[in-house]
Amino acid sequence: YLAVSGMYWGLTALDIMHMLTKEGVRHTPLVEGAESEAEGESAADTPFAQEDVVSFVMSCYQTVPLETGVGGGFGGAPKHDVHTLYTMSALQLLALYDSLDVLDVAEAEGGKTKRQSIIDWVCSLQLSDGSFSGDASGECDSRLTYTSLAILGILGVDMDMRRESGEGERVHIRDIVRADQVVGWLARCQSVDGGFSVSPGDESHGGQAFVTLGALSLLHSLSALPSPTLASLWLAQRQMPFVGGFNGRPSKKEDVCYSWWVGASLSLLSSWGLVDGGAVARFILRCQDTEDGGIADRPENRADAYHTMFGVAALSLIKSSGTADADTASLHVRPVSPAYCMPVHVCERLGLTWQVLDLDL
Amino acid sequence: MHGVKKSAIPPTAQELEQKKKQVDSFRSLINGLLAKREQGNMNPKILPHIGIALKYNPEHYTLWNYRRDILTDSMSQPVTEGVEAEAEGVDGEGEGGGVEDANVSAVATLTEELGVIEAALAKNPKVYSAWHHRRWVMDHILARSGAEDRLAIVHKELDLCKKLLTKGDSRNFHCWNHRRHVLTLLTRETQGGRERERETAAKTTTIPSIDMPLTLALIESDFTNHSAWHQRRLAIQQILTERESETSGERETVDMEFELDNLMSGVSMEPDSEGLFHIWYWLVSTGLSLSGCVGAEAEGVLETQLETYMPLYEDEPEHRYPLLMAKTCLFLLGRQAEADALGADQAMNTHWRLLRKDLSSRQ
Repeated sequence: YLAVSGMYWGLTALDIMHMLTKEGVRHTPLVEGAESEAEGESAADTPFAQEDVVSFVMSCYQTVPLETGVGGGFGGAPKHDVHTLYTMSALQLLALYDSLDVLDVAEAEGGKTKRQSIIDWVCSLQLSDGSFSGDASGECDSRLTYTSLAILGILGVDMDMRRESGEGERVHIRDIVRADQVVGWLARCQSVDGGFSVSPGDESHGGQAFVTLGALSLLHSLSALPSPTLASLWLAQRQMPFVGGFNGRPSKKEDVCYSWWVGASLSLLSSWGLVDGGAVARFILRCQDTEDGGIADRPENRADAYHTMFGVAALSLIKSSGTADADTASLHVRPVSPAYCMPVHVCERLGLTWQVLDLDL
Repeated sequence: MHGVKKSAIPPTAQELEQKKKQVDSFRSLINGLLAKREQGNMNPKILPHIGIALKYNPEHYTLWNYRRDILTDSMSQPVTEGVEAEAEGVDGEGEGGGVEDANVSAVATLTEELGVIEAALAKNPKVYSAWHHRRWVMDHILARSGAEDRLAIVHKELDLCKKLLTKGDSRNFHCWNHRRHVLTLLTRETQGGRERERETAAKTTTIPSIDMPLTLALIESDFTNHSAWHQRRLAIQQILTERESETSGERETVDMEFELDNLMSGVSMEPDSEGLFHIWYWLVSTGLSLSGCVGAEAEGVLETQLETYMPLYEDEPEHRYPLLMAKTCLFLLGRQAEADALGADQAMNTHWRLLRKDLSSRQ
């Protein structure tokens, strides 16, 4: 039910590690600076080549009826219902393989492109309180608000709220959704303790910190935060003494995936200096399965694609943070966007931007 | 996946074969169901099969969607009872009696549905789509039930949440979030049907008369249960900010001394618990003034707090929060230079600089 996300986790992790090209997964890493060329390898040997990935992703696409016509989205697997969680993963994969143009073909019925169908569907998901649901069922959760906004950004909508209208020919977020209302809703997800919750009033949680800050960042609206200072403190408090990894809430255990949820949040608030990045990196590396490969949630547990992705991506963030120790600074990993959770080279190709707030102490 | 230990003993060929058979069997069941969905098949007889698939994999969100579609299709009689009812009344065939029967039948079906969800949650209590489906079911049951029944239904749901939190994982945020939603429903039921009150009820995620005793019991059994502390803080905040209401009965009160003493017990046992610190910080920086404790009275409270936490820090300076609490007290008492100087060489200094900035911004 989450095949598309599983592929996104695995293939993005490989790309960060220089192990992916359009021809597929490499057996040896690319050297720094190289973009493609499966040198010395037969292209037929490499799994997850562009054609196969795009074909699978598109088999997860469906149109959905909207009041205003036709919408579109992706499910987690073929014949699974459309949902923004899997639509985001699908688009991240297409972007990774530089294949978003497959969405610029017209739908079978009507003159719209698939790209436009998806945009229209996401816009229809805005709830009366300003947040976004993940599908027609109306579930309210900041994760789903984040995925909806990220989808619009990846599809080329101008998300920069510092502007009143889109640059050049681009549609602006203000033109298609109630943008100020969603910014207000996101800001209300900050709790009195500085953390962020599923919806206003709930308990603060590390995962929600990432989606709230990420959403505000891609809207260039972090200044709407009631207290960036307490947010930085709450995030810094996630680091477990001795173990070095991050937990997701007070008095819970450390977990590799929070290296990303908390780590990306720290990146967005320029707050890596408040924690020991080297200790986080060493924790992630201790969670590797040295027999079968991959990274698990905790040392000696079973590895999976999700924790591998977020462990590798977090290592990249630590390297980029300027606070890495010598070992982490020398890791052969590509930079990652802390707002889009996509490799920076992919974001640059799409012209995606995001905001990073300075830490003003 | 979380918390799955890598087994030192690899599975046997037989175990792998059995597992493969199980996976193949469920995959076949699920593919069959998805094919029926694609064909638009809304036969209620499919529901038990979907239930089996969901017990195997409660995270299969498409199958929860399918259940909702089948249930919606089968409950085709419109609603006449409930807060959501429109004044126009029934749209379609039938006398009042026919519609009532349909509502009763729908409620019975939906009540069974709650059982299906409970079974899935027993397998995995942290599935977003299962909890969301439960909310949908609750909304539809309430929309088809009379006022007395609604109260009973909401109380029963609250009891289920209490059971799951006290006997299961007391930090399950899905359950706490659902419980907050149920408290909103209960507030709506007990505060009458007027629009203004319904709007207020929609924002109310705590009922202090229920939450204060429940959270105290949870906290006393585990001081690090920050989910319970969070709900307690919401209840305290509600009590302190509530205006006089026409329908107000007994008013809950907050005993600040008790709350601060309780926190002190917690901090002395868990001096590195940031959860306790945040509740305390909210109480001294916001709660005190909300409760009307200002000026010299507030200073008295802060002095007592300082006398509590300074010795805790001095005895064991390696712990985080007694130091930060002593510094906070000094700052709020106007002794800012002393606040900065205390334990300035400690690693907690960056955390203090953030707190200091926050405290300054409130002045």
